[in-house]
Amino acid sequence: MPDIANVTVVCFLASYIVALVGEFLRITTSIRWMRWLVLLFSCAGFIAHTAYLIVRSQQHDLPPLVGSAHDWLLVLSWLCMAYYLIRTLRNPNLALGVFLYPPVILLTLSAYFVSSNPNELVVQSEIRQWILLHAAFLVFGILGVLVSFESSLMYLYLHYRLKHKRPIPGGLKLPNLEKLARVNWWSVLVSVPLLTLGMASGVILLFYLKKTDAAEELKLTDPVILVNGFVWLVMFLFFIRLLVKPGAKSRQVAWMTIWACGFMLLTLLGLQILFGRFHDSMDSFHSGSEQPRSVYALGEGAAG
Amino acid sequence: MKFQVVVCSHEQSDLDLREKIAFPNEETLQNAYRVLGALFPRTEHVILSTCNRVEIYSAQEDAADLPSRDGVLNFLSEFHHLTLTEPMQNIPALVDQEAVQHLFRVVSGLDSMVLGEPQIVNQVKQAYKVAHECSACGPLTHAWFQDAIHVSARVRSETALAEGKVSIASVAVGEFGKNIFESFTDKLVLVIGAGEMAEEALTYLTDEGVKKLHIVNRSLEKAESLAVKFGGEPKPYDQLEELLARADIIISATGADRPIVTAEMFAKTRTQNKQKNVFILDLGAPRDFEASISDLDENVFLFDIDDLEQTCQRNRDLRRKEIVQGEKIVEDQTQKFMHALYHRATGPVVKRLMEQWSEVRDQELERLFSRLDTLEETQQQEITYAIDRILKKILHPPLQTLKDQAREGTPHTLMDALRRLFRLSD
Repeated sequence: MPDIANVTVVCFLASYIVALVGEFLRITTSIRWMRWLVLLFSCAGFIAHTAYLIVRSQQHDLPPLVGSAHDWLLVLSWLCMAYYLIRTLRNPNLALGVFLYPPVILLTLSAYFVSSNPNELVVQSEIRQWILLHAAFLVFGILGVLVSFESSLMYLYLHYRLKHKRPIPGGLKLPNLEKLARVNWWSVLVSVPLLTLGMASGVILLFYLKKTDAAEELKLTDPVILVNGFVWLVMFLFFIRLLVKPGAKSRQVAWMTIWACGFMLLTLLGLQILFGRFHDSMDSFHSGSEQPRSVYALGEGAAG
Repeated sequence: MKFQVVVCSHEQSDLDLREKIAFPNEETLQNAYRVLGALFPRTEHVILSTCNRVEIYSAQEDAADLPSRDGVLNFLSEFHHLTLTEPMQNIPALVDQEAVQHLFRVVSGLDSMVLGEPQIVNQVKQAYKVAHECSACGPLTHAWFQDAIHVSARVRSETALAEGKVSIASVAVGEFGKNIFESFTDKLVLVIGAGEMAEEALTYLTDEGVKKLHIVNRSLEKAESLAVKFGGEPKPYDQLEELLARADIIISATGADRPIVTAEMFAKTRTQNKQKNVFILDLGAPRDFEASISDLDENVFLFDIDDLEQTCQRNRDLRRKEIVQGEKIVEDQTQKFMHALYHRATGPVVKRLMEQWSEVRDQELERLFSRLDTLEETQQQEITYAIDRILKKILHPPLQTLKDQAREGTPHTLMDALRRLFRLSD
């Protein structure tokens, strides 16, 4: 029986990369058993991923959501994988992996460039459940954004193929345009309120922590807060537009989603990596105050 | 005997050319047979015009009287008021065994865009029926087409070619329609036309659970009859524009000789509902919808018959084994047909030769028996039997040679030699 404490990020990252390659082979070669191979690697990766998060959580006595920026990103990629597996197990013919694996791999890789030290503020805080709620709002909001981004990509790809009268490759079975437009619509509609709640709860927590002198160095003029606020505003305006113009063309909505969500995701990951280096930034508050790890630390186990 | 087919099918020519030289309705076909009859009075003709092909089959006892490929192409260009441009000049012609084999492949669904489609059998039967009504066909085309139907039945019963998605509508809706809509049950479907293609489409759509169905046809009676069969609503043709605006799925398969829905007309139907997806499947040849309709807005998905080519090719690749089996049957039946045909060609010569020598035998035996009147009946029978054997042995080598030669085609030279050597009259 293998010791799950020895599970490293490399284990599930490698599984996800193999599964992604398998998804592409499925499209180009139409090998029937490839889908089952992809599913096998996906499940193996997901189990290893889950084990890693459990071990990390037990080691620091913190839920993975608030443990560190490293854990937080891995939770996000874990949720994406859970979404992928649920959809794929319901319909194994779907080739969602082509669109979902790249962000999953990107999130998992990004986790290396941010701190993995437990956040002392959370460890010591008496309002841990409120911090957890704040993180949960944000992570589920971002998950919604990711789903919306993926469904928009699929929509635009499918729309292009159909409009240009090109058959869809045999192995690349995607949901239909009608369903993709609906998923996109609902994921934006759900994710923006969640992000809003996450932002609002974050601001409230900030004021509360400042009062208790726990985080005196944090300011509302922090560039991370400003950029995140701007991104949220963009998403919120997009959300308002969707509500005001419910009859907007699905393709336009898909393009807007790509721009808005893509901008948000890039900014978010960029901030995590870039500002994670400075001790006095908002990100250091989220991630603890350790310098980011180097790429050669990839093999480091959960115990490590 | 000579067989020929001028082939303009989806494999060689695109829809742009096919729709220009098509014979979309019976009236056009009747006119075409009249012109063909005047141009080539001694030749039998059958014209097959479907959305996938326009083919002119010709057969003639005497090869010299068969119209050349250029002759048929000139007829096509003059009949349709077209100039013989390059794509048209590239239309090929197949002769004799290749022509016979081509018809057998066509009617078996091996040459169809949708492999194994059964509609082609009825289309070939219908084409022959119209040719017969116009007195354009004869005994050669009769034998040819009769055999083709037999071959088709054999291919369909001995292979799995006719299984799965075998109608154009099913492939188009399955490949494109299902990628647009989640379900068809809540969609309003408009079918324009009430012919066989429209019926095929309706069969598939009702199987897919379509509940709201409008059928429009110039003849309301036909629309009503289809509506009763499939549980739809027949609508008068003058409501077409209004119905186009309401429909989510439009399938058109009329025999119109020009587009019935122009871009301008369709643009009007989109003013109020540009955000709504509409899937149009144009199965007409000539096309019923102007191609520029596709560019009107991003939610209009217009497909014509040629847009299915790649999908159908993928289907063919997956069913290679069945194709090989089907091709073997076609090859075998073609050989049988050709042998029967050549033997039929040599038949009159063989018969005349046998009759002539039998006459000689009878005359000589009569003369011999009148001289030798003392012969008993058994002795006469022995002599008759011996002469019969001599006769057969003498005739066997030339007849066997004739038979052997007939395997490779009608042995005109040998038959002519026999006629001259034995002075056989017609």
